[in-house]
Formats: sequence, structure tokens, C-alpha cells
Amino acid sequence: MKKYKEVAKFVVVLLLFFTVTSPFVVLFGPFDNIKRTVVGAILKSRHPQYITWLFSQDEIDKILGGISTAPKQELFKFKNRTDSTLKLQKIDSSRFKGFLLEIPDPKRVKVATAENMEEKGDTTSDIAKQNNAVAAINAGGFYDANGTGTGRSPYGFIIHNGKFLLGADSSDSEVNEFIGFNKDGNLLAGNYSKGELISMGVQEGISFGPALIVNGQKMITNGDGGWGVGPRTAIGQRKDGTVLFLVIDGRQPGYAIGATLRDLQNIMYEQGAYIAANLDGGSSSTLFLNGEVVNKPADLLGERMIPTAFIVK
Amino acid sequence: MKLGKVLLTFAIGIAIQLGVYFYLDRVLFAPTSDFQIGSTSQQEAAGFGAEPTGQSYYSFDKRFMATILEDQVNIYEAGKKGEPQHVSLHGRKVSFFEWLPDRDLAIFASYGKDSKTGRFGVYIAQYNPLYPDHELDTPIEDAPRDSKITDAAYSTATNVVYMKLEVGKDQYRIYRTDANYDTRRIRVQAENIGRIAVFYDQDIFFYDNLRTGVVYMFKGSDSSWRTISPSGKFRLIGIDGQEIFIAEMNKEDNVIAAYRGRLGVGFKKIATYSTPEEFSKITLNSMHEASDKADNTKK
Repeated sequence: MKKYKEVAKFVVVLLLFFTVTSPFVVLFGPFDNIKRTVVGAILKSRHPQYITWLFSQDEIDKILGGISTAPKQELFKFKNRTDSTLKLQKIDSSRFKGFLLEIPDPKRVKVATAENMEEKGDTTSDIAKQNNAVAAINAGGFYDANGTGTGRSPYGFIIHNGKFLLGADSSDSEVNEFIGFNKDGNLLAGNYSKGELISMGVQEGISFGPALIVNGQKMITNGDGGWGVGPRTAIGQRKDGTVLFLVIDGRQPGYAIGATLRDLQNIMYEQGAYIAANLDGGSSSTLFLNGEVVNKPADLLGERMIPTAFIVK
Repeated sequence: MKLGKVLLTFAIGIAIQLGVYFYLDRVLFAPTSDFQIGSTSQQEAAGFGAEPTGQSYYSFDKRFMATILEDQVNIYEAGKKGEPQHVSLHGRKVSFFEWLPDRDLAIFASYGKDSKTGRFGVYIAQYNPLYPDHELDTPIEDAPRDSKITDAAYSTATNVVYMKLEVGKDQYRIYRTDANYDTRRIRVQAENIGRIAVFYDQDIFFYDNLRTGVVYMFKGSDSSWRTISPSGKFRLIGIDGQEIFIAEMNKEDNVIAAYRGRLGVGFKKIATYSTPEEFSKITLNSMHEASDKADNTKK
């Protein structure tokens, strides 16, 4: 009995000590990964001031690490493959589970939008079904106030069949993050002006980022990419033209808590991607294949409504 | 001797803390995680088994059927043989179950003591019969003992879920969760609450106060609220798109009239009941009929 009492006393004191010291250890201690995760999470919360009071912008940038500015992308040539089979692979890690879909023919990948994206989005699977697609992943971002956005109000550019569905009225000098395909099936990722996209003959694409691999080089070499751990979606392309759709599940303790941007980059790199970029993640992350959602979207209500998807026709 | 013991305890405490920090830093929050890539086949669903017992609920496309006993949920798939899927409840009981209207996904609420820990808990959970191998749920952190969720209203466009938690006889609380699993109690202007509803595409929640007969709206984005029912005694019937249906009650708590309205526009009477109706008989479907009748009369 006395022993139990002593152990209980020890645990209580330990917890008290832990509670009192943990803010100092986390924010000023030697554990960089914990510090980066906590600082990143607070900055994205409703109370970012707790961090901006404590650290200067330079210090925050240093803690979070970052992504190299994407260099000018060199477009590579490949012989277009016409293999119609899609290969699905499962990804397992101690922290996340996900799926990678290989699409040999890049010209099968198109952008599709929700039926009425000015009013509300549609789920990835609804967008795929409306367009008779075999496969689809969620694509571009949208204004998502308080995390309750309805998938309407996308931002940046949306291009389908060479036409600007969003950004038609923008000036040629307007620059946005962009992920899309040109006439030859090359995946483009990085910051592009509207004029550049027009001159490159871009056929399909949306606005999101950042680019993870450019010209075969990893863009994140320090830290986790600054976005913490969560459900993620990414797109990439090998030198033979094969397009890779990557979806990682997260926010589901016991199953998957999620991946960092650096995780995405490493998976894409190991799978031979020469160019790769991050797409909208979180509750939006969805991979649809052959009539069903393959992954497990993070939200309690299942798939989220989104404005745009990359589909495979 | 005593100093030695204190120092040893301190050293063990520091070692435990270092272990925790080390695990968090090097494993859980590491910038990258080792991964393996392997082939996969899309998952097979479980099959149809013994004759089901309990209350049955069908998914929107009738592909799945759930049978609910108090402490047991079985999921059957049409046309499949074999054992049904058994939803793990951890010894808790089911207090609410509903298939989503547009997808093979159910949300359900459970309450009671966990069979392993013995701790009382209230949970709202998702069940995906296509991928039944893991749970997705969120607890109501400060739920009083023996409380349970008896109703939920959700918006698939905004991903918010509002829950009605019964904490005693005619005593309810409202909780809200969203895509970030930010689950918290919402302070409302009622204790005895009737039906609840939420707009399909906006984080706007509706409820009524059964004691005073007032219907309210609550805006999740800024936590503002206001009364929406006209003067008199009213109950919320439900929401269809942007249209709100409420019922006017008499002193005996029976329905004497039904109204249709919109936020910022107001309510119009669409039906009068010369013989007062029981509220339980007034459904959204009956409101559709009443609306059509009222619209045709206008023409």
C-alpha cells in the first residue's frame, strides 16, 4: 500500500514538473522537431500571437525551416506511353498510410471542376463520376474560413482544355503558384505568370504548391517543409512521362496521423519523380479509383467538397 | 539516505521526461518517416450473414444495412454472403445512428463505460463499411456521467456536426465539431431542446426551446445567435435547403399551424390544422406537401 502511495506521489510530481517545464523545454529546448511542430501548429491556430509575441519573424523562419525557391523548370522530352493500365500501390509508415497511383499516359490527366464551383464544391468522387473518370485526386485550394468552406471560391488559375476557367480576366503579368500540364504532357510546377502559361501552351492546371521536386532536385533539404504533419495529396511525373498521384491519410490516431511535405517529397523522389508538387491536403485529400474512394478521408463526414480535381479519363 | 532517494527519484523523473521528448522529437514529429511501398488490392467488403435482429437502417443506395441492438452494431452488405461486419463499441451502447444521405458512410454516437478502462465516455464516430478496419471518432471531453448523444445535425458541405447531448430528463447540451475535430460545447438559449438542424452549405445551426416555444439560429463562424420564430409558441420542424419550417403549438402542445421561412425574409403560414396534430406526425415530407399546396393556391 505504501509503495503504491509513493508511486502515485512520484507520478503526480512528475506530471506537475512536466506541465511546468514543458513550455520552456518545447519552445527553447534542444528538440527542434517538437519546436517546429508546436510553433507551426500555433501559427496556424486562432491564436498565432502567442508565437509572434515570443519570436521575431527571422526566428520563426529559422525554426520552421523552409523550401528552396523553385528554379526555372527544364522541360524534358519523353515518348508518350499509351499503356492504359493504372497501377495502385500502398504506402506504409509508422506515421501514415497512403496510396500511390501510376498513370503511364500523362495526356489522360485533365482538370475537372465542381458543377457550380461559384456556389459550392463537389466531392472528388462526384467530380470523377460526373466526368466519367477512372481515377481522380483533389487538386486546387479554395478560401476556407474557419475550416468550414464549402469548396467554392477557388483562387489563382484554373485551366482546362487550354482555356482559363479562373483567371481569364487577370493581366498577363499576374503570377500564381501553378501545377498543370502542357500540350506535350509535361507536368509544370512552380510560380508562373499568366503570360508564361499561355506561351507554354498549358492545357490543364490549377493553383497550389509548393513544388517539391524540380529538375530532379529536392526542394526541401532542411526541416519538414513548414506545414507539420497531416493528410496530404501530391502529384508528380517521372522522366518517362508517367504521372504519379499520391494521397496520404492522416488526423486519425491509431491509423495514420499524417505526413510532412518532406515525406511527400521523399516518396515522390524514391518513386522516380523528376518533378513533383504538393496539392490541397487536410480533409480534402482523396483518391478515387474505379468507382470507389481508395483512401480514408480525415473528416467525420467523409469526403470534403472541393472546387477542382485532377482526373484520369 | 533520504537525499539519495530524492536524487534517484529526480533522476528517474528526468529520464522519463527525456524519453518522452526524445520519442516525440525523433519519431512522432520527425521531418520524415521511413515508409514501405507495396502492391494493394482494393478492399473487399464483408458479407451477408445470419438473419439480422434489432432496428435496421439502410444506406442511401440500399447497399448496406445496419442493425442496431443497444450494445451491438452489425453491418450487412446486399448480395454478400458470410459474417456481417461487427462495429467495435468497446463495451459502450449506441444512442444515435444514421447513414449519410449521399454516401455509404454512417455516423453514430456511443456512450457508457469502456470495457477495458472502465472510464465513462461519450463519442461521435464515423463508420465506413468499405474500410471497416479502423475507427474515426471524437470524444465529448466534459460529458457528464450517463449522458448520451440523442441527435446529430450535420452539413456535408461545411463538414460541421452539431450534437444534442442528453444530460438529464428534458435537459440537453449542444456540442459542435468540425473538419479540425475542434469539438466543444455551444452555449445555447435553451435547456429542453427539441429538433435540431443545420444548413446544408453554411455553418448555421437551428434549435428550439421547448419550454418557451422559441426557435433560434446560431452562426458557427462568429458564435452569434438570434430568435427567428414569430411571437407565440413554436417548434422547429426542420430545414430543406435554405427553407426553415416551424410549427405553431397550442397550450396542449399540439400543432395548430405550420410556417415556412428564410433567414432575413421571415415566415409565412403554409398550413392550418383545424384539428390540432401531434408534433411527432409533422415531418419534412408533410411540409413539402403543405408548401406545394400553398404555392398552388397562390397561383
